[in-house]
Amino acid sequence: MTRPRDPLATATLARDIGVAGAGTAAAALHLLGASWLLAGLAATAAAAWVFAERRSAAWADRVNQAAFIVLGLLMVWRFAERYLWLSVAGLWLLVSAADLTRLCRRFPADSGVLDQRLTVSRRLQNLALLGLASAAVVGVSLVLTLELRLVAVALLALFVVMVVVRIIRSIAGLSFSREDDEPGR
Amino acid sequence: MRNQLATLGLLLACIMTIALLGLSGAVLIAATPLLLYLLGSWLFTPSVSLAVRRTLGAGRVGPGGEVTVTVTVWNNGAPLREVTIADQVPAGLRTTRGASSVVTSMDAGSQVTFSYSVAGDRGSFEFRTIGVEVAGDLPLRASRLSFDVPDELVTLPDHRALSRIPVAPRRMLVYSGILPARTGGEGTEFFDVRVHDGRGPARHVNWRLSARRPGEIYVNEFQQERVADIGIILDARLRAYPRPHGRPLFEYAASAAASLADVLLDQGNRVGFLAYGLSLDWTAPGFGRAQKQRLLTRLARVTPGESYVFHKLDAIPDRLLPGGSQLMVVSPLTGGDVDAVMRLLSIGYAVLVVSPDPISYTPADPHDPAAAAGRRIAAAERRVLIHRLRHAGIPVVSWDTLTPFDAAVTAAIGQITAAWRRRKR
Repeated sequence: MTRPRDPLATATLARDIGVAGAGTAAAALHLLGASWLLAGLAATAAAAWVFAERRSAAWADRVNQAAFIVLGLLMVWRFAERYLWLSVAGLWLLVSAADLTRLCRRFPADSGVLDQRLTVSRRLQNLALLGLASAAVVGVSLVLTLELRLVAVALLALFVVMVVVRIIRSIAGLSFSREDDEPGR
Repeated sequence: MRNQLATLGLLLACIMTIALLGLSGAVLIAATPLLLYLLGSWLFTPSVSLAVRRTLGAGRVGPGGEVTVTVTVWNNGAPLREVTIADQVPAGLRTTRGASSVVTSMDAGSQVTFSYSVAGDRGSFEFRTIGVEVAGDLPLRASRLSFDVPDELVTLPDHRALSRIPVAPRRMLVYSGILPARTGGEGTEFFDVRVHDGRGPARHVNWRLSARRPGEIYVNEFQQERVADIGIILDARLRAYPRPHGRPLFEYAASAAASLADVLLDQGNRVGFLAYGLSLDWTAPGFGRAQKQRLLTRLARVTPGESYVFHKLDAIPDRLLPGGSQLMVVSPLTGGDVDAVMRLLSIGYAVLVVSPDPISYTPADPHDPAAAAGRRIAAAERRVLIHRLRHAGIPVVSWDTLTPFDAAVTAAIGQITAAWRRRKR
């Protein structure tokens, strides 16, 4: 009978897998384009990210931010449309790695083990949902040939929706906060 | 969190720029995971309804005493996956056990309690805000709440009980106490004899004297023992204290003032306190244990400061205490202070000066001849100041802070009583 894994160890492992996956995707994109230097840069960035997180050093935050930007840019640098799925998968892994890095940093260490497991599993489920949604969007884009102009308009519309939703929520929050203005008890 | 948002936003902006420069819709499609993550974080920020309470194990502790701080947070809203609760520990306090922040998750209607211990040196420490940061399942955006929960922790000054300190105010209060009042009446120590006026108990008749003087009967009189009005004045001018070397000299002065307050109130006297520095911090005279706690608390809050108005000691108000009462000035003494202290004597107060020695406090540098010469000059100046005060009839307890305060007072008792005796003559 095996002992259940420590939730933090699970999250750490998932983070490392995410970073390694994102690095592999970025490296693969450039290996396919025969850019050895950029592939090496991707592998180095991913390794630096994992190393910095494992060391928990003061500079870990800066290293993982830099690695995030570098890997993200490498996913779309010298972009080849036929490897769109690989870019999307790589960016999804990158976002997952960033999210799990945060989870490991601010792990709910003071709550019960069951709550910790629930938190980790919910985060993994959400990231899986994010991957599925991204895959769906990519699938649709493969079926429908979209003009750049149309995509730009769609993105603009998305931003407008976000801003409107945000404004509505902030107005609602304002009215709530007026009702229960008492800061503590 | 803000860094993460900025990083993600920066990457998204870069990808969009690349897409627009390359006129490639597919690059924008590639950015879908970033966009969806951002959108999800934006839309699914949890609504938060929390209540917070902080409890201190004690409001006042002795020096170095540990106090347990307990923070409780109630979740009156929806379940929260990532809750970071951070209590802001006031500067000057150190956390000795546990941590002042936790990261946890909270179900609806649940509560989280955590404790940590703090300790600090003399001072008044104000706890203010408890910060709570709540993030949802996609935690890019979080709700930050700041709960204002004011609490105060007072660490009392380090003080040791003095065996005794002689005081001789010019005027006593009417209440009986343990200070000799230099007037005849009820008491325990012999004071004088007088002709018997027909009143009083017969056991006080001095038969030996009465036998020598026929026709008259003499009775013994005893010295009345009363309590006195005593004012402790703590010099809190920053300029009077040298640069700290380890424990600041002001801390020694504050602990001396605390020791004086302790012993004088235990003797039953009415004691007031004035901190003279940035402003006049006056505590009205009072008796008993409540007054002792009041004074120690006030002493814990005093910090040295600088004010143009109170630059010299000559602005000590001379109407705070009744004329004839005893003043105890705790000060390292600077050049212009002697005249101000002598003025207090001249307007009718009995004055005693307790002076922590700033020269012996400052460590000597044997390899620097200029510093050694400066030290000798400063020591000579201080000797002159103390001599002038003693010559005027003001006893001075010069306290080398390397020795206990009680030892310094004990060593000076002879000098103090001699000064009081000279004043009587």
